Amino acid sequence: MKNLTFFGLFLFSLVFTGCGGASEDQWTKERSKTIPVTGIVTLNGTPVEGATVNFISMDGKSSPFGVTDSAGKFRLTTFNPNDGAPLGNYTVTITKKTVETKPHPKEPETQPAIIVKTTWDVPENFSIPAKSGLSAQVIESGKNDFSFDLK
Amino acid sequence: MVIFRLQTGQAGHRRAFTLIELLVVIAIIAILIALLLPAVQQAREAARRTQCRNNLKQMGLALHNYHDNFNVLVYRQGGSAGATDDLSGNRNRLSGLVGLLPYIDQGPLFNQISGGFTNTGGNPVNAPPGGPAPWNQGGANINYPPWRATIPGIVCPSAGVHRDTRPNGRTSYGFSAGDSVTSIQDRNPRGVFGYQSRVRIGDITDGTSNTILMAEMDFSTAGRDLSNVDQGTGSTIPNDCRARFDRTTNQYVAAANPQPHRGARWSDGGAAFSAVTTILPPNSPSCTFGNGDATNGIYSSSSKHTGGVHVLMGDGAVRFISENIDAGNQAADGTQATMPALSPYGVWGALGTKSGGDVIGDF
Repeated sequence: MKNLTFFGLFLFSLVFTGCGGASEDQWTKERSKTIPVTGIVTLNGTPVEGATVNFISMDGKSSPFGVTDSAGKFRLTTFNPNDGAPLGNYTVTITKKTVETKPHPKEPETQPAIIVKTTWDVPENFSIPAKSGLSAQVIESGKNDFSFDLK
Repeated sequence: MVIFRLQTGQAGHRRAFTLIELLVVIAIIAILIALLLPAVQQAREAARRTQCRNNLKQMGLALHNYHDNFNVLVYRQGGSAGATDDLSGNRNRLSGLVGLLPYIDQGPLFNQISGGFTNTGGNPVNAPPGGPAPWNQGGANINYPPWRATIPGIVCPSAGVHRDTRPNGRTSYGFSAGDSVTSIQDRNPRGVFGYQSRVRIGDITDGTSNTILMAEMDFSTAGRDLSNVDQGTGSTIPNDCRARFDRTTNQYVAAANPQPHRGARWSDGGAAFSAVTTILPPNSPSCTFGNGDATNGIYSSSSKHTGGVHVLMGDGAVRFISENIDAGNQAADGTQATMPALSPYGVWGALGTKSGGDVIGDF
């Protein structure tokens, strides 16, 4: 009977081995709490689709980003999809560009391609943190909904 | 004289199980099987994972033995230059794995490659020592067996079946190029392995136990899954690469151009095939900067193990790194010329640099 009990315990231990994924670990414990953040991007009044919105935090610890949909709306993601951004002040950059490249003329198989043309669908200065002139403050209570009207 | 008495129940009845007893026994057996089956599946995956780890450990031994012999580590990408076609030379695209072959029990294969190849079959193609370009495999113009070879020790058993249909041998382990988007094709990259690089263990001044040599690259098994490479993203900012992959559908976005390059050819040193960057954390998308497959970019590590990837450290240790590892400021520009010595990409980025001077805590 004692053997049977041990066998039962052994079976149970087998069943529960490997349960519990890595969704929680030492890294997730250190993360700051995020608050949902939404917004809209327009260029001269028209919504911009497919632009990357970067929120650059002053402490450099987190870097929420979002992508605009056809209505120009975005939701920020820091760690998990659409989880928002930690509290704080951010410099905002908005980038939408198309890069055209051609192969390296001498060593196409080994050397990086050469940029032929970069088309900035949103003016370049909005993608440079020091020049964008856009900022945002994510607050604890209240509406974290930002509207960026670029001109 | 001993008399045996047959034990019987009541007179005239044979002793037997009742229907209820039988059903109870069957039910107990069914419950036990139901409990055991998932455990068996997990045990199988655990075994595959152990083998995957062990392969990486062997690569570590191979790299160290190679270093003992030549006092330098292999390059990630290199070979013979000067050829203007894909048959008379390998066009500087060989993977460092070719040089490691004698150290992972593949001496005969190495000799076949280094000795040149005379085709005695119907296909009139000969290859010079070092082999032809590693990408023509399967084309009508070439029939070079070594590039087709499947080497068990460089494939992770968890990886599944590669979506790429060309008949090349695969690999699941990539060489670390460090934490810069634009130093991948450098002779002196921020990581340990580069294009025609000649890095010695002594150059790893951050400490070999704090620097990644190799990491897992998963096979792409479905059309737009995570282990593809978005060819031509054209950005040096990691968040732009993250934006190319939709985590809710687990697919690359419609605007992306996902290609199944990761690990598709073991012999190809091109970045998309065999480089791993420590920019985006494990199990993230990959993006090339230019339009080629041997160009700068963000090449993330990935695996089918739950929650992270195995990496090989410079001291030969194999560690499991969580996909939640601190990857710092993902909005920081990864252009080498403007990057600070200390990695902006947190602990993960610091593990990739060989001489950044980063202080790394527990990971």
